[in-house]
Amino acid sequence: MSTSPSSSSSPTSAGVDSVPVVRLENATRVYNPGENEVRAIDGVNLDVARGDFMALVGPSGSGKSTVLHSLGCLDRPDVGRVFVEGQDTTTLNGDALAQVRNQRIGFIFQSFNLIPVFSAYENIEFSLQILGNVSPAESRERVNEMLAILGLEKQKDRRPNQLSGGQQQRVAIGRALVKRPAIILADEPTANLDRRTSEDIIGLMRRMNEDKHATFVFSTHDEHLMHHARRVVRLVDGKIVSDERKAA
Amino acid sequence: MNFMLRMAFRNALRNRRRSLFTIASLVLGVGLFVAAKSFVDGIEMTMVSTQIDSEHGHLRVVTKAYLLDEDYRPLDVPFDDASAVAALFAKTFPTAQVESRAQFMAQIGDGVRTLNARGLVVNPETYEKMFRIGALSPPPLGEGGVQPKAWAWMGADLASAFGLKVGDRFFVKAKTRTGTVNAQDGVILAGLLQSGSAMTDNFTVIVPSSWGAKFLNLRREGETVDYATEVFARFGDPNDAEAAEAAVLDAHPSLDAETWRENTAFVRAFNDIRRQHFYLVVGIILLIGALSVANTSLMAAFERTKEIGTLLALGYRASSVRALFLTETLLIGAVGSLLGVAIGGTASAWFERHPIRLTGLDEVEGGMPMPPLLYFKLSPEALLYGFLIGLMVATVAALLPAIRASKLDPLTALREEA
Repeated sequence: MSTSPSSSSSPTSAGVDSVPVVRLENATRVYNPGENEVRAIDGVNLDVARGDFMALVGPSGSGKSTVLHSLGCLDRPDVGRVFVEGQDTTTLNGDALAQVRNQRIGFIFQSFNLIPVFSAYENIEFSLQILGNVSPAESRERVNEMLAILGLEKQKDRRPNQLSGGQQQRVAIGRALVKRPAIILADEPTANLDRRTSEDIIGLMRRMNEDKHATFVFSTHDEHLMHHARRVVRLVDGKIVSDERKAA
Repeated sequence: MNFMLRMAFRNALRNRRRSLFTIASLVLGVGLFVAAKSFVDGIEMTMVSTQIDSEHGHLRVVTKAYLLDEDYRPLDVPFDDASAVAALFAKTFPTAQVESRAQFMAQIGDGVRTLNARGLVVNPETYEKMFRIGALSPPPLGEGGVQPKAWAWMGADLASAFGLKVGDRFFVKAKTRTGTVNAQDGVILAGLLQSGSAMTDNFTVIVPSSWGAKFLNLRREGETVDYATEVFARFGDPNDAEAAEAAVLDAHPSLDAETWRENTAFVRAFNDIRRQHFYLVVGIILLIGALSVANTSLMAAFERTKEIGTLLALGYRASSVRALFLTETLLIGAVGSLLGVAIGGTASAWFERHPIRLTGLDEVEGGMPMPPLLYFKLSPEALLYGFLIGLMVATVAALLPAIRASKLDPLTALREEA
């Protein structure tokens, strides 16, 4: 596998399609403004193209999570703008942002964050339920298809506390993917998993990227996960210092 | 919606001990509300019934002139239209029972002590059918099958004050219709009156018109009808009393009338105060229930902060989070309220059939018509209000925690305990 240097600082340079799935434009986020202020990200420009399998890497405090949260409309930059499929989300109110997250963004969390009172099946179904416009029959079909892809058909009635870490993360991936979002954001998705399970999860995400053309952006310290990324964006002190795209 | 209900139901079961405690506090509050309302309603019903059954019927009619001096129970203010009023009621209200009586100021004694009392001259055969004060049977015939000359029935408590028993003799002294004072010695106590009404049981002596009319000079020459100072009516439907009152006042402008509702207004007013006292206590208990609900909801919001963050991150709206928390509490509230209504209702229904015996309460109640047996009165309103109050308490108590949960910033919530 070869790598090629990237000109990622330009908002328009990384996209495969003409409109990036998500774009950060000159995004700056400052915590604790004043004497002890922390500049989590500082003038970041980043385009995420459809089909990207992108790793955000960097030391702790480099701004990976803030970039990820800004891309996912969970956090709002103090300066700059965030576009999701061309729509400027910077001025949207809470409910409108919730709708953007609901319809266009899938999340995978480090500690899985499944709803404990729901079974594996219901956790995946939940995404479609809040989407709102999916018929019960279609919902059943899509959830069962997702469970088959995840290899969780036999565990579909189990609740999160009856599943292993790897199985829980698979359910979380299913929950993110089943609604067919524009982008899936994963915050350290393998950090709480052992080596073998991590490989399993990475393989699954990669397969979804290749087979279903799902767009993934994940923050990670995991060298192995970085190795599988097709694009690696490196951050230091809240700035992008490199954006490397690997050849297919 | 089904999905939210499912989630709310399962969330409500997550901390069962806490939910059970909350349910228990609501059961206590709602159950006590139902029982307290049934108790006070029962007291009111019993007091009103007692007043109707022993003293007033559904309608009492007197002359306006009599009302002016009623405190003195004058016998020289006759009710001349008694038969006309009876005929009017019989025509308009075929189910009406009509009865008349004459009140007089009596003094009774046993030779050692004397007491003032209210005397009534009645026709015992018809009077005992109208008023439920006990049987007004004549005493047994004397030696040789001779009817005793004079007999009367006395309130049980009044008789007890003299130590009189049925069959004992006493004297009656009274001012007659003509103004003279007559006394009758050797009056046989034919029976005791027990009604629950302090006026009847403590102060009344009933004399049959068979000898009472002569004793009090009630019948003047030429008069053909029984002398009366008051006329009473009882209807198949108590609600007819108002129409009957209007009819009699319309036909006889010289008369005045009082329905059972007007007569027992003081009972209802008194019970409203009692009701407020009970509701104050129940309100305090419900407040404790509300605090328990609020605590449960608040704890759930604190413990599930990260979960709320996840829901919000996945696109759940703030209003949906609010609705979820309120639904969870409403489910707990509905179970608590239903159980409270069931337990309070069952207890009240039991006491409806098995009255509480409270002797001496009539004295405590200061002359109120308070019988010694207190029945609960369970009404559908008590059950409905109990259930709705339980739900309302749960909803109001959960409102602030639910709003707090819905206002969480998703990112801050996700970082919680991360």
